[in-house]
Amino acid sequence: MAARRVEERYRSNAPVTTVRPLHHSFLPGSQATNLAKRDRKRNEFRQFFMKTGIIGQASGSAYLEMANTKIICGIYGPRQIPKMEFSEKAKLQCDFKFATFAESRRERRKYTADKEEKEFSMLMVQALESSLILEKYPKSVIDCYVIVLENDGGALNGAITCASMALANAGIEMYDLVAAASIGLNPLNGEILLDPTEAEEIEYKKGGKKGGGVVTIGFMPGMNEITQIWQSGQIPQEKWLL
Amino acid sequence: MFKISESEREYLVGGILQNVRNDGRANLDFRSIVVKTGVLTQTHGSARVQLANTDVLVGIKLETGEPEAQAPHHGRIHVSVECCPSASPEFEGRGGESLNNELTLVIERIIKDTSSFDLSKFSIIPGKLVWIIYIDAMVLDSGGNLFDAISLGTRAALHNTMVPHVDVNIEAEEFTVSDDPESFTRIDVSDIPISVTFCKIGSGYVVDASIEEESCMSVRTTVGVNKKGNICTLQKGGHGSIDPTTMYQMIASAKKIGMRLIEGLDKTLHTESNDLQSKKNIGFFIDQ
Repeated sequence: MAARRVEERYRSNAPVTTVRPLHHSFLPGSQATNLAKRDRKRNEFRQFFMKTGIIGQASGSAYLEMANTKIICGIYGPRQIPKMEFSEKAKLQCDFKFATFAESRRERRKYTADKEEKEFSMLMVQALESSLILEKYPKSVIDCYVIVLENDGGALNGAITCASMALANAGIEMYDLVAAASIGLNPLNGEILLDPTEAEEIEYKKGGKKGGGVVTIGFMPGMNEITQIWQSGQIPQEKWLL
Repeated sequence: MFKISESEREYLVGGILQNVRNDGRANLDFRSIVVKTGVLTQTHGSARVQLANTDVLVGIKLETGEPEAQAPHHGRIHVSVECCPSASPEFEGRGGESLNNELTLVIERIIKDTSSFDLSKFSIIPGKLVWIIYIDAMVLDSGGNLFDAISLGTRAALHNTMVPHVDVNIEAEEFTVSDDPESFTRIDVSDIPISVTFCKIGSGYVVDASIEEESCMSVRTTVGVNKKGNICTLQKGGHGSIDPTTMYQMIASAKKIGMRLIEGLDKTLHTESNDLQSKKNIGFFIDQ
């Protein structure tokens, strides 16, 4: 069984008869090995690398690496709204994009934004908007472009953290930086684990007797305010009271 | 965009602090919910939910098709939510696109991701042919709290769905879908969650916000709750932020409210499916 290629117009496509091979993680029996491989403690992050100011053309930029997850973000603006409409505060626009080759465990991404990318763009705007003092920039727009070069779990929280750093790097006035993290609930033993990898995310979302799921939270540490919360999967309510 | 005046806004925010809302409800009260199932004869299952002015129609169509490569032995679910431009001028053209997308993804996540739905029952010829369940929700009128209305409607419509009986000849890979209206199976909806949406307005929060309340909210939190009281999906909307203590309170009250809602919905659905004969409407929009 292999997925048929869907033609993308205006791109050079592979011959119609070609089929895409299935990744081994789709095959039965491969899940157990994925979950057992975790070599860090349950409350331990992967190795981080962060750097700002890496895109010369942008007003601000940042690069974030969490082991295999690699995210790059560029901020353009504040600049004038192209249309003549008036607004008292600046508008933040986010464009979240996975590179077509970003994920190994699923089929190649398309060039055009899919549903998930559109949703993540919207979630990013919600996560970042309340940290910025947008009233300082009337009649303007701030563009934020995020590209996930490689996704090994935590693409959304990485993107939020990275974009917040890039906004600070661009010198946009803000109340606080937004730091985002994700946790997973292991369906097998009900343990809560920090910073799940992609294989773990897929497994946790499938769920089991003890629930199972992934939660991403965007947080402003100085203000003690949650700016974004997003859960996929099933988590008992008691777990929320720790 | 629906907008209210500054003074009306202040009146509303002040009321919420006193636990009294404009329509007389307390902060954690729902409006009365009207659920009707089997309203569309052309579908395999349908439901209509009314929450004061909010009016949502959910239709379910079943089709046979190829399974997804990742899950060859499971049926597929396809969710789409559309806000009719007739409901509000802001839904027209691209205006409704982001809202449609948000609603679709929340409903999809509530149904698909939470092991609430045993999709393996929807396989016809393993690896070759499965049922594809199309869940199409339509917002006919918008009076606030679309998320909860659609999730209640989806659960009700799935409960109403009749899956036709299929005769399969595995060796020949042939199948016939029965057209006998008497031979069908129902879908088990007991584990499907519903959503409870909170809006933070001023420093308080309310459940089942009306459109006036939604126009002055800073944060919207949609919490999925299933029969066991587990939290299935969580989504924040709106452009504000929220402190962790309020968040915990919201999740705790979501559990209570959600479980009560499911209990009430199940009771209604049970009585509805038992007396199919007594339902006679004059027109689609008018009750007897």
